[in-house]
Amino acid sequence: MKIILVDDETKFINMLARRLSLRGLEADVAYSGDQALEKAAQTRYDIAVLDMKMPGMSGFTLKRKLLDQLPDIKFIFVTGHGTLDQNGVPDQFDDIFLAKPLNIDTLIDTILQRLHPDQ
Amino acid sequence: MTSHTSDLVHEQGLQFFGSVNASISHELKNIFAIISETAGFLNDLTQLSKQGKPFDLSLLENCSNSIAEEIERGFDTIRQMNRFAHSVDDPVNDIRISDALTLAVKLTGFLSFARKTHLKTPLENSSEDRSVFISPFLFQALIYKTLSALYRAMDPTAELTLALKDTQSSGVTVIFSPDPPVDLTDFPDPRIDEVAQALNAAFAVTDTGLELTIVNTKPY
Repeated sequence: MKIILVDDETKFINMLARRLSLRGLEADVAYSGDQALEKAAQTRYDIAVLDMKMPGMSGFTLKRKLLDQLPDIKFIFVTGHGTLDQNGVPDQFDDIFLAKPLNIDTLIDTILQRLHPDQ
Repeated sequence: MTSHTSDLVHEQGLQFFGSVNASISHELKNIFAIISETAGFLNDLTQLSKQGKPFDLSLLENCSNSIAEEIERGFDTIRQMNRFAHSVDDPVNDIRISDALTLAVKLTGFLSFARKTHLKTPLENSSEDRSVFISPFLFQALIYKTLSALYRAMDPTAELTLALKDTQSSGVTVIFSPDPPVDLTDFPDPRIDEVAQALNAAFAVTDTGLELTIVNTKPY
């Protein structure tokens, strides 16, 4: 399973990658949309966990660009915005949103559910 | 405060107030997210230790340093929030222009599309610094909206410099210099201009950027 975490909050994303690693899930990190696209050109990721608001390129813009490179990739959006009222529930575009601060177990459950919806 | 200025506070001011609060809450959530993940990682290390699995003790030091840094970041954010909240204490008051610019730069810094900004205003005991008797809240709104509009027009890697220039009369000019320069032919937006006019301030687009001249200032 190839995971990429994208957020301009470097300490947050590094710590998240470390905690996932302790649970047996290895994840690459990118601190910007451009960096994520560079990594996606080298690695066939199965799922991307994206911050919605990042300098330069928003999570939604990055999603569109990643889909051009990796048509099968799945997405989870992470947001610090207070208007989130559907934590963990897919919207009409089948995107899943999780609110910050994250619960690591919820994130892992969501990743697994996105990749293996029938299990 | 005139009735027109009061209307502006209610119409554009509320929008500005909401925007600032949304960006501050976003910043605080990011800070809490880092502290939360770091606390979770400390718990992970505790569980490893209970299982007799060794780990590098420097990880604990890194975690405590990270938490301390984020708490300081949170305090700084709350300090700006508090200063901003007090801008509505008085309908009009004497404000130091460099203080208002500093706060506006800090507040817009929470926006995801903010650009790196250098403030060259004199901060302490400078003859260039001025104060003006004005609506502190609307003046904050004016600078914030101006910075936001410039950031949106600028390339993500571009930088902005703000400086103060004396005018020959009793005015002072705030100079906004984006590097590289941007197309400002449509600036200012009528809503921003409306706020400027209510504050007796005027914009001028120059070859290198933008100038905002404020009249009736006095030495601070």
